[in-house]
Amino acid sequence: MFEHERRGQRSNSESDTDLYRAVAQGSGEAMATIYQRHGPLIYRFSFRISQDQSIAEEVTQDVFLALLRQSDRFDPARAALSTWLCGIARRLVWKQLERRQRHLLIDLPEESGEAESLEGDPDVTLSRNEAVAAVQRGLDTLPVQLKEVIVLCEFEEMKYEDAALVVGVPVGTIRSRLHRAKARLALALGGAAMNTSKENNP
Amino acid sequence: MMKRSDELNQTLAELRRQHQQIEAPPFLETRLRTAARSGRPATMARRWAWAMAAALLVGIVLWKTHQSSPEARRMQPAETVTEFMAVPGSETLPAPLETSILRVRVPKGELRQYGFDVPPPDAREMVGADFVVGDDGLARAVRLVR
Repeated sequence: MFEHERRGQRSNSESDTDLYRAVAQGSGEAMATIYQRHGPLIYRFSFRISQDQSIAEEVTQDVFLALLRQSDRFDPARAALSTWLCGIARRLVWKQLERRQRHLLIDLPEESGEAESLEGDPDVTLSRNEAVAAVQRGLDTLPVQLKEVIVLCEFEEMKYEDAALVVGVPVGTIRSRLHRAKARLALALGGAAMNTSKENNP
Repeated sequence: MMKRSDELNQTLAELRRQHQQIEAPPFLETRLRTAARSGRPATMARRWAWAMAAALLVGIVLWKTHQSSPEARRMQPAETVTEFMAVPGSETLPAPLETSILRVRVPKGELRQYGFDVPPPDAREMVGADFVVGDDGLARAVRLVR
């Protein structure tokens, strides 16, 4: 743990903006407090998107080192600090993925029509574990553009407006991508249910 | 029967709970604490960059001198180069107005800091490397020359 925690941490009520200003003036304690607040989000996001622990570690470290290096670039009027940091993390993760070329980085046309139905058709209810496994498999195979909105909006419960700032697209695009992502996950659930049904009624 | 969308939402809620349990390894805190204690890394990076630039300059002069001899040119095999790799941390630097490519020979072990995998037995072996250096003196990318 950071030393300041043992010696008396900066106040938890201190705003991110105040802490950020303190970081800009070279305060290690402020930096530590910011990491305590936002490090978990950055690591979880990087890990989920990259599915690679080493990338998540490297990105998390680089995001906070970037905060030390370019603390003058954050504009509290435009975004929350967590959003700004998450945006840096996203760019770094994407660079890593592009470099390794092992993920689905496809150009998604921003569709205007209806996305697929969320319902699916099987009359089978999966067990909790089966459902979790099916959705997890679906998540693993989603294009990164869809996966990241699931992680931001569903897992991190980020507002659409903030997710839009992180991803750098309009709010409407976040909504449509989230809808498409959920539709694909619902299909994954439906597919798993069908398989279960076939196994039970060969 | 539960609607598929309800089932999905419940499943996503379960995955959210699992997601929230993902934790960063403690050593990340330690590394950042060290960085924070040692001051603003930009300052350190610039000091390092000046030292690196000076080393590169010396390397270039030595290499050019060697290259200019007729015997060296005659014996020179065809070279192959790897793709340029971004120098770690360079992503966060401002875009340079101009860049130069500086070719040097360095011990392979020095290349570990740029993400190259160098087995310990090879660490002292010299290897050619091209650095892309911005007008601010900071290295942005590196590739190996064989």
